[in-house]
Amino acid sequence: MLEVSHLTVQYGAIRGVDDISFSVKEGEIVTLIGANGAGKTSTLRAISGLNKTSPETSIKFMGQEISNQRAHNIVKMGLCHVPEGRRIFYDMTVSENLYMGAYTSSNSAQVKKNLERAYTLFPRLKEREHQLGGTLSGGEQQMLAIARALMTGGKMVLFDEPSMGLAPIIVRDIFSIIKELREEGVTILLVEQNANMALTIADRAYVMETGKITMSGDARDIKNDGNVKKAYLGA
Amino acid sequence: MSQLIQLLIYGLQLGAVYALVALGYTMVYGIVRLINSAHGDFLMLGAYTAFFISLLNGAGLVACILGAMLASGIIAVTADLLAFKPMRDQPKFTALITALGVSTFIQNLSRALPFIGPIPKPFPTLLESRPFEVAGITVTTVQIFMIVLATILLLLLSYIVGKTKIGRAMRAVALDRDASALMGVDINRVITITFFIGGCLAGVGGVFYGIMYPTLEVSIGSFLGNKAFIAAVIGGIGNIKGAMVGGILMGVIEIYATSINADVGFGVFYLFLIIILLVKPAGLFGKLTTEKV
Repeated sequence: MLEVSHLTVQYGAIRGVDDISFSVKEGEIVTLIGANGAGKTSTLRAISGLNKTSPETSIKFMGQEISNQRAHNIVKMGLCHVPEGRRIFYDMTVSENLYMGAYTSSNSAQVKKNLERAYTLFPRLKEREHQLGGTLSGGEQQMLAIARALMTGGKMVLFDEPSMGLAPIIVRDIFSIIKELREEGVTILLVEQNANMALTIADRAYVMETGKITMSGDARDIKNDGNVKKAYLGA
Repeated sequence: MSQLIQLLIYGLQLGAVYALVALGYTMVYGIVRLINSAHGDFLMLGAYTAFFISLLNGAGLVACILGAMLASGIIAVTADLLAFKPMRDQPKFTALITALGVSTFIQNLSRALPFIGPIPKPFPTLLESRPFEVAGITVTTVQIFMIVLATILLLLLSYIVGKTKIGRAMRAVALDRDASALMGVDINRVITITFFIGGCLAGVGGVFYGIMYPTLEVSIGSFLGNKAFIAAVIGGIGNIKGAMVGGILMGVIEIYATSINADVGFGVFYLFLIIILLVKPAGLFGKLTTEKV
């Protein structure tokens, strides 16, 4: 579904992401784990068109080359992104935030259906429909960010650190939502620092270190790998 | 008492002009964080457009206003695409200087153009000013027309920004550009539309200015623009309601101040600005934000 090859992101003289290649198949949960500054967020931003990539980069989504597309066109193709730090619109109500997710859709029946789906998935958001996004708790904001991305009707979701700054019990909720989405047939690329959680729900994993992929394979194998355990799982 | 109300009518009339122009400053600032010093010059070109349209046979007030709106809107969009857009990712200071350059360029180019030129032009009477008396207060048709049209435009803008899809996108881009792009919003298109709407309002402001002070010269834009910008800052730059309230408030205050002494009008503007910035640094409706570095 997503085919990334030779992805390079350059920040001035520094290579944030250095010639990495990986793929995500339809219906999979793939996780990208690694320490702070390894280039995980840059990778996701490059896929969504927010970061410029170098000329040798090729990113194919459902067979189409998207590395030269602008961000808003990539969303329209069905690839959505729940950004790091949630980035909800603080001065807009919950329902306005969700309608922003439906920006590209001109089919109001479809928008209504997606809105119902979002409220079924996150009943808490329905209760807070008319509240400003900025007044929500961290967990609710993360739910809103996820719901908003789903409103785009995307077939694949990029998650960037959905557990960041959340209480463990909320983190569990968020991860069970991610699993639920996979059941619905949504393909997922998950970037996490909480490697333990990520490896538990993922099918496959890639480990990133200073801009490069250093290991890849079945999520269970990676989880049991001695080096990974020592470096990321605190064992 | 009737004297005070009489002055209030004048104040509302002037405030309507300030509000229309202040909105352009505030909308552009809100969405691209640019203090567009050339905004007043869009107004000036709008006023001249209305002047030229009025020379055509049979062209009336409506044609002049629509023509001025369209001209100022298109000029605003052009200035953005040619001058501001290339500076979008540069430091704010660069963009500010670019805007000053655009302003200087427009004024001097206009001075050099044979059909505009450095000599002031008399603005035609587009609307006959008939006075009539209501409960001891004299109101003119021009005043009513200006206040009503400005109110309609302000309400229309509030509706667009508050309730429509494009308005929601404008607010979203102002809040978070990347997140908006991830929602499928074409950022450049939204910025262009914002410049266009701001320019249209400046065009109306230009015609209003011509109606009130019927002498056109190339510097009217920066003169009026300065005051409208201060009004926008007083209301809280970036805040649409703030620009409306700030503009109307400053119009009323200026008229009251000049009624006491004709020379203190502009001074009062700055005095009020200083007081507001001391008491409420983000303006009446603005929120203080800490800048992330």
